[in-house]
Amino acid sequence: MIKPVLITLAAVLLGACVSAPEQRPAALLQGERFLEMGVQSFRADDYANAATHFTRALDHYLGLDHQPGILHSRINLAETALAVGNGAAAERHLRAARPLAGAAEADRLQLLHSSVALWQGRPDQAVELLAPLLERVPPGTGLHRSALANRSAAALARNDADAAAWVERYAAALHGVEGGALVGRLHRFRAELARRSGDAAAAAAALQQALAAYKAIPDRPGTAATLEQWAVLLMDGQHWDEAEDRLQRALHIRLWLLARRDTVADLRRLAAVSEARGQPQRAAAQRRWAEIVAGAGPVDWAALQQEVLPQ
Amino acid sequence: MAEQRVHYIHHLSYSARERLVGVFVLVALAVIFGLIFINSRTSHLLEERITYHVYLKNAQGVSTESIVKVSGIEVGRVSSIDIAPDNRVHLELFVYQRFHNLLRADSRGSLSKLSVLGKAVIDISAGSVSAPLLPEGATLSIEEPKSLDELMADLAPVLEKVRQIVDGVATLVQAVDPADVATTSREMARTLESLRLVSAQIASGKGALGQAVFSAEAEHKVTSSLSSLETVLHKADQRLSEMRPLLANASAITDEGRTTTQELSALVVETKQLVNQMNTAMGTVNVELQQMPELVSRMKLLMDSTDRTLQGLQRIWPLSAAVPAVRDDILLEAQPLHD
Repeated sequence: MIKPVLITLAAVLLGACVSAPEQRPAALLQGERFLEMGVQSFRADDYANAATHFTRALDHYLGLDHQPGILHSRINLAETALAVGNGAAAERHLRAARPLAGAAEADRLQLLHSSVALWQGRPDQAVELLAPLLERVPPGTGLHRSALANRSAAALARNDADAAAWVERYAAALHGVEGGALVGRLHRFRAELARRSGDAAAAAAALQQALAAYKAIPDRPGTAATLEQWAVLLMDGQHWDEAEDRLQRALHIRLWLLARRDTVADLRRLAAVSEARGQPQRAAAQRRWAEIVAGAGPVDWAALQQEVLPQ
Repeated sequence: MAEQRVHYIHHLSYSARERLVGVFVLVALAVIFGLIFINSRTSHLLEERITYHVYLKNAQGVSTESIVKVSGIEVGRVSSIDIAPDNRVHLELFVYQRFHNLLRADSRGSLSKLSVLGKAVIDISAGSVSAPLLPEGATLSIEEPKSLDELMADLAPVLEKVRQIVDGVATLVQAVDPADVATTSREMARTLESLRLVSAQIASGKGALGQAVFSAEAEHKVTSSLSSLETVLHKADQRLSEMRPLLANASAITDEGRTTTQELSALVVETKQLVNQMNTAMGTVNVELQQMPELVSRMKLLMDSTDRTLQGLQRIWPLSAAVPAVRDDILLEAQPLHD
């Protein structure tokens, strides 16, 4: 007799706590779950898994002909491709996403296009893309800050006279922002300006701040880019040992990310350092690996790591 | 105009409401766990039981958790294990009152074959309806399966006989002296060589056969050959005499081997039965394996459901305060190019 009473009581108690059930179809929720897992992997710097989840989400949404889902998947895939230094893949996804984008997503796609243009070494095109975007997007948003960061990068890449002004405008937009990748990027801009003005000490100090900002998150591509920038600064001052140390640390990250273009750049810089230190054989090996990675064929990454990096 | 009364919930702050919901959830969870606990521990608490006794020589795999079954239905459990005065293992088991009708005077029990693997079940056959009920406190006769040790003990004599055969063959081989064999072989070779010379001379066409045979030299050679052959035959006879007891021993060994072979055939029959039983068991396992995909699908559904439940729970106080909320965004934040 007591059991039915207890069961009824429990059912009533549980019934009181039940919230409204999810109304959307399970297929849509499944797609969202893939996207959520991808975003979480991306935030954990696990780009390989992020790409896997986003690709599954894309397949899932393509199977449903769900346009917003396809658009979100492609935007996320483009971001992931840029994070691992694969501008070609990013461009492919952006091209496919363009017809699907409404007004809200068009700005985001334009920002990504500017990133691809910068990645491809076309800062003029990036400036053209960013000009209307900076007028349209309200200040204080992540999109506006990122657009300003790209605009500053383009100004520095073009050696514009107002590059410092753009950097300061970007700094002003980050007012009140504590840490993070955007702050790390600001320190790197300042380091570059200091290097160009010949103030190596100020540049090193800014890079140290950038490194601290990226490592606090942590942000692998940001960390690697900072180390590479530092290596260039040290090479200018002919501090070969320290430059080699920064390049090797950066290369470890690039190999982890399997970022081919950045790996090639690091290997070529390492070869230049080896030659400057009077190690022609080592330089030749580094150049040989740079050529292999630059090619389209498969790469024995383990062999590269064993030969080029200290174990 | 009468003042409209407002439900007390509207006077509570959001945080207090959240706590109230949390208390409801916790109480509900406590009740559920309590019910599960009560159900698992006391499902047979109020049932009347009848006790029986069992005596075994070997209670391998039996514990106080061992199940008692009648015709495949779980009807009771082993309640205690101790040692009888005659050093047998005494099991006290109980059967629920409602199954008492199944246990009759002609009911027979057996310990499951799996007892050697550590999980024994006492299986009792349902008695015939015409037989009287088995009274409380009665002793059940149980057929015990052979333990692993006993199976090994059955094999031991066979292995011993095989060892004896091997020893006998070894003795036989040791008795033959390699030096004697070599000498005999050499002498036989010499004899054969002499015979070859004789036949060569006959075939040489030096003269008529009578001339060759009756010539003094040929006669001498034939005599020498015959003498050698006689020596060889004498020695061979001597060796055979020496080997006679060994051959007689070999005959006895062969007889023993025949007996052993007969025992082996019985063992082979038993092994065949065991293999058949294993095949049956594997067949059962195979059926279970075929159900695995469905099981996996169901598990996935269950896991999904559990995942949703846990996510829902995490949003309720006090868990919401302890577990950091996961930002379930589906779009990455806008970010600049690193380089």
